[in-house]
Amino acid sequence: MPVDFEISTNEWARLGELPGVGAAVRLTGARDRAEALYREHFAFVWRNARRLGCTDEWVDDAVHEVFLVATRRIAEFEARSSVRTWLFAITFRIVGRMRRDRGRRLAQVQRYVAERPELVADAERETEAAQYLRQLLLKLNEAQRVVLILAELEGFTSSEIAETLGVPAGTVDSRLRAARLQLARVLERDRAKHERWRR
Amino acid sequence: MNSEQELRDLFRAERAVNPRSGAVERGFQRLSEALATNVTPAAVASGPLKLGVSAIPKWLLGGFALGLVGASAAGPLLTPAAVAPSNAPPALAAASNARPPAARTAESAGAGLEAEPSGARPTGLSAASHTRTVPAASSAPAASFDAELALISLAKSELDARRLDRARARLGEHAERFPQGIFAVEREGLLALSDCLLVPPNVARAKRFALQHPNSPLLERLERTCELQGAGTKRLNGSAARGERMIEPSAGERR
Repeated sequence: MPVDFEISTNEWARLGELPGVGAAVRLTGARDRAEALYREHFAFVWRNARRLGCTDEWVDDAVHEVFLVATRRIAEFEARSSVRTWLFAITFRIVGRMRRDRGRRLAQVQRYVAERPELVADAERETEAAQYLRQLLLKLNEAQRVVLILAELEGFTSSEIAETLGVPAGTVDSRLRAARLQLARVLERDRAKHERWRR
Repeated sequence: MNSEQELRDLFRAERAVNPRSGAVERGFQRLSEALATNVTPAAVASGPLKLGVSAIPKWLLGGFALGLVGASAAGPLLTPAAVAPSNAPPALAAASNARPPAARTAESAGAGLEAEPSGARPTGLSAASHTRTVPAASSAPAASFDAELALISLAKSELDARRLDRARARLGEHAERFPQGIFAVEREGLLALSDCLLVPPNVARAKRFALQHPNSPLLERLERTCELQGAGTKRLNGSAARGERMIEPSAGERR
């Protein structure tokens, strides 16, 4: 049975106007709008939380926190950016914070345990190759990792990435080139290491 | 297989990964419960990421600024010509005209601002929160830092050239735009310095500054300037200058 909640404010009225929530324009009521945002972007946030370093144990918590922040702070959303770039920025910060601060993460996990979260949104069509790529991504620096994720995996344009990062599009292009080179190098190195082990 | 092809395959494999069906329902159920019980979200910013700039810790920026403004050796670097001419270039002029972060409202301040502390967050959003003023970012964005540094540097240059009115105008602008900025202490120090350069000098602010910021690198210059202008031989923060006694002579000594 759905739990009802009250956010009867103008902030929620704006949700219906967001470009990324087109399907939900006709929906009324806070819960429906929140659900529309959640449904439309859940997979996006979940995928990118994992790519940014979430492990399966806490990816759900990170996603949950991202949407908690997003629904509560919709007033700060500037409609000139897309919902996805906005959500990505929140995801990046939440994941970064949870990764950095182990103590805080444990506290959050405890809070979530108290909330009895039984879901584990495990992956469909997960392959070793995908897992391997995420490991490689973690060997890049943050700036390179983010441009690669957004460009190669999410298909963002340079200008969308520029908007997400708050840098000029030219910077995005040069970072992307550097990131591709670096990833290829990391892959080569990793392959060489494994070759050595096999001998 | 070459690495380019291999990477393409890896990307393809990762693109195909999605959460299992049913995860959305369970996830949203959990979110609904959290929203219903007014769980406070994490205090994170939601604006552009600014990777590579905002990662510089504030204390490092502050330390750098302190050294740059306070060190007399940096004087040549801070001349108007070196920093920004008085007919400022468009970039600087644009930065100067930017609205102060503290004055931006929640409506327009999504970018680059930290959320307020979670404890202070109202549990339900109200229409009034649209116009509420949000606190300035805890980590100053690079643009603010540059604009602050430029203003303070210009003020210092004007002060060095004894153009007090212009220096004070710059400092006033800084105070208006960045009341709690990284260079707030330097601003106070330079204001105190400008007071000492007035005719007749006014050392009240300098004394206050010395008491509040006994370790400021500006203090030495402040003391020198204010003393030269007749502020007396006593050090501003009440401590003894070199060769000066700290304590009053005893009754026996007076005799």
